[in-house]
Amino acid sequence: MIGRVARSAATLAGLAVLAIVVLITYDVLMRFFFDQPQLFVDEAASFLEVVVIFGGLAYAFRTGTHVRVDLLTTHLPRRARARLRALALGLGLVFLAIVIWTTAQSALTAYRYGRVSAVMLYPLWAPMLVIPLGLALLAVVMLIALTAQLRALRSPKADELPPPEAAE
Amino acid sequence: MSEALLGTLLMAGMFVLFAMGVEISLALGIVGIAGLLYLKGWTIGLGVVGSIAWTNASSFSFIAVPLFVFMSGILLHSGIGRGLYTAVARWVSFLPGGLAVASIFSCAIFAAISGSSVATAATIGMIAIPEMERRGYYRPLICGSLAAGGTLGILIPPSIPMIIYGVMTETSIGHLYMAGIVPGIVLALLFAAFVVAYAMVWPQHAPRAAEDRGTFVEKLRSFYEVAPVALLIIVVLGSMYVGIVTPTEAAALGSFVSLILAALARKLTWRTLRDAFHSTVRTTSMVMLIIVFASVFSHVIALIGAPRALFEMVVGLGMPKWAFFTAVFAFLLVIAYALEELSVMIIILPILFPLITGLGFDPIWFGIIMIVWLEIGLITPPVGLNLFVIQGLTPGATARDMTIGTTPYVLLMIVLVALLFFVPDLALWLPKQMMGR
Repeated sequence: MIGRVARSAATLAGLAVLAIVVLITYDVLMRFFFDQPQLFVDEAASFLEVVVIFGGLAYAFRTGTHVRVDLLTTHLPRRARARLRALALGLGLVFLAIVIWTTAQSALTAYRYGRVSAVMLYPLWAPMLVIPLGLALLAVVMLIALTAQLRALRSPKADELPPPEAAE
Repeated sequence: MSEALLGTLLMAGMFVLFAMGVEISLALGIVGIAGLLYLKGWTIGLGVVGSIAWTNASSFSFIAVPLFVFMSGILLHSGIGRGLYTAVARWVSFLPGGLAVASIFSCAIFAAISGSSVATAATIGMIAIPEMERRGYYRPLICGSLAAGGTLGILIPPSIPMIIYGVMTETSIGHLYMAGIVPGIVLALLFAAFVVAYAMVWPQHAPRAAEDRGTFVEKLRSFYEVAPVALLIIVVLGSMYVGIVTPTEAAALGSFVSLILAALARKLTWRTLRDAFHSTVRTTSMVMLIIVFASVFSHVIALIGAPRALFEMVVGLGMPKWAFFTAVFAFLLVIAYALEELSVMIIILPILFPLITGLGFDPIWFGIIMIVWLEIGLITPPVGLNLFVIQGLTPGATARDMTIGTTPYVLLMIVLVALLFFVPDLALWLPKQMMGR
């Protein structure tokens, strides 16, 4: 279930990449051939970039893409490694909770003060809200990984669990 | 708490978190936020995080990162790599070790439309490895030529790490691109010269086959086969060189033309597209999250004045320039064994860059040095990404084959760094011409 949500968010982020390609190409062609630069494109593309980055976070976690150092942990006994992974996930979650809260505050402030973009005067709160949303999806995925890791610790042969999904 | 002590504690905390196996991005964020909370308190300290995240995530220059990954994903199965490799092989297979030389030159040419080393190694490797295996090439020779040839992907423009370096240090991405061309060609020639010399000493490792030598007609046909690549080079680099587009726009145009080429070759399926989406999004999310939280961390480092303190300390040592540079480079080589190099670059640039430029080194020149260092990291174990890619594409290849195969190229890259140190114009001449116009 959560795998599907994460993958759908990634597909959505991928469509945002495609949209960026089309928008910028359109802008360049209009500017070059008709001398009509499309001013909205730069800002629209920047907003879509936020969707690309934060929409993909959870999927990147599930496929084990986020870079980690395993030079030391691979030499630990299995049980210790499993415990350490649970601790690492727990720490990460506390941290994410703080960042989700503060980035949501930023978006809320932007909404309250009616902050807009420099050229097209687009309201900024909407793309800003994508940041805490994407981080929240990452937190959910990490929380599920943490519970799975804690459950695995009950078994005598506990080890660090691999990423839940293989990359395509 | 003194600033020096706080700085030391934060660095120590960062290494402990890394060692525990916390994701690098999150570890940077945890230390950064701890520092912010201590220095500025809850309200002001945390307020900065939101604006740093927003500024980085919505930066127009960074858009080029997903675009180049996407373009590679589309080109991977488009058949463009096969056309290029076959064509190049016809021209160079008269040389000893011809197919390995063709691998290197194909990588170098593909590098002019690819911003990533992994994508270059994978695209050319997919075609070249079976060809060389079939001729009975020595496995370390196969693996080495492709893993190392692939690294040219980030030195010859376009280049994703150059984009990141350019944005982080406020250096012109266009100038960095131009600065990479000559060193890239020199490195490709060094690689090829090594292969030829090797195949002359051990001819049994690179058996020759008459079929590889193209006839005159076939050689002419190869121009038609490389036409898509040539078109993409014009779109991606030419358009930027003549100044009608920015690096990000060039990336978008390149992706657009790649989509059309893949569609014309009837290789553009929903599956290809979805796979390209997913690999693009994964890579982008990972890299950009590191950039966002590394910026939080470096904000804290700047608040406590660490770059300045470090600079004064180094000046106080009174080292000659070459000794300082050697020390920095040796330190980078060692640290790269424990961490993934691109992450290291993102983490240390805010500290290292002011130091390097403060001592009078050229910012664009140093960018090229960082790129060559990243290339070395891509083919040195334990975390060299190109090693994994090529090993995965070569059935039966062992880690030992990879290490034996790539070590000579690592040495050649160190030779290039030395050349760049003594002749900085190798990198700087071309961007100077551009600035003069």
